[in-house]
Amino acid sequence: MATQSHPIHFPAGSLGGQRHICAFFNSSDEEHRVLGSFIKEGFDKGDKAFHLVNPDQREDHLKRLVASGINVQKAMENGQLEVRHWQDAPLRGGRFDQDSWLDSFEKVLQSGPATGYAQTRFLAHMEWALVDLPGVEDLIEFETRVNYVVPKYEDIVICAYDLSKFSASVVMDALRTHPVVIIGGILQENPFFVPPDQFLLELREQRSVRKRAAAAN
Amino acid sequence: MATSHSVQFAGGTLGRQRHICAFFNSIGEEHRVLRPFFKDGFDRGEKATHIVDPDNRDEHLKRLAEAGIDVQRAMDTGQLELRPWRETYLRGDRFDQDAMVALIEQILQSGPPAGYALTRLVAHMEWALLDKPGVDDLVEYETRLNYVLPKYDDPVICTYDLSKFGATVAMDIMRTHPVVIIGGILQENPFFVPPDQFLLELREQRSVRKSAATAN
Repeated sequence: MATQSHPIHFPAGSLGGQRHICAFFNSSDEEHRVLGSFIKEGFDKGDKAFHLVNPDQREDHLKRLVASGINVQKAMENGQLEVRHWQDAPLRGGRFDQDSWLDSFEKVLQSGPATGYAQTRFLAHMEWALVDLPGVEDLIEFETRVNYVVPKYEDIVICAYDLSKFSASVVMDALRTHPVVIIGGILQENPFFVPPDQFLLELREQRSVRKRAAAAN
Repeated sequence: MATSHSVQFAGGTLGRQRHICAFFNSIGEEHRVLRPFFKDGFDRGEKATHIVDPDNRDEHLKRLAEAGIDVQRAMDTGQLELRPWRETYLRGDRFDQDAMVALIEQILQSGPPAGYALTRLVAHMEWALLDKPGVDDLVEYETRLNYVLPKYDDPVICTYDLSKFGATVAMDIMRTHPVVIIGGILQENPFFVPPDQFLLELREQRSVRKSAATAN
């Protein structure tokens, strides 16, 4: 769609140093239209690309990368592109363990420089949180805690949410846990961002209210 | 705008843009956040028009009373006017966006002749989830209100219960309001899309969907 097709660029310093981004899309088409140039630029610059995908969409995702002019075969062979399936990452062991995945996530960012990549462009499809497995309800707590990790690195982390699949409640909390947001194909600093200390406090309060309500019934 | 029309609540001050969407998770959160907005308006002698979910009417009034508002008196004098969905958004058992834009404008215009310098309009928007003709026009209606509301000083708050709407609608709602309340905080909205541009986008979406349907 013409009004949504502006490619996203990340000029140095334009994000005030904030690189934990959530991106809301209505379809894979929209996702690739908006992020295509961002992904392509990364390859051209020699950045590492780490993509966390739904295994069911792996082929489609790779096909779209090829369509945007990326030599996917070569990039996967030399390690520049790493495509990881949900069940080998946040859903490893058939559950979501936020501590363990936060730790693995940080290791991914650290492994870039060790293997010669100055920057990693990390792209995660977040619908794993809709898979019926224990722990996925910790999604939002995990997202806010990512804000303790990402500022330590130069890497860009994009969490992509398919709006047609999530509820409004989850998406608004996702919005509040990312300092930068892509909505309607436009990248913006996010005035609704809540720093993690404050957001964790809010989550704790919500839980104790719910516990009290449950005890009262 | 005269300073006497300044409106402060939810950690912010309203500027020139006064078409606001407010996302809440519960009626408790709604009243906690909007209490000063309600109370200040009554204290200043402004008009309050509330378009509420009929199922929440009693609860709404109870919470206004708890905020220290003399609800009975305000309703008797006409300062507080409660209007049900069936006489506003769902008049004739359907949603007619043209009629509703006209009605909103009529509500705002009726304030000054009745002696109210400002009207604080609050509308619960869950009628759009009912199975009625026309409710699909919700987002188009919201963007079109942006042609009308800048002509008035009156703040208009559209409240959305996050536990009831899907994410697609919620994001479109966010993009059609220049001011937003999320997490209890009022902010100018950098994601706002002006109505000319948003209407164009809606038209393009429809033609994409139509050509996809023809292709199948």
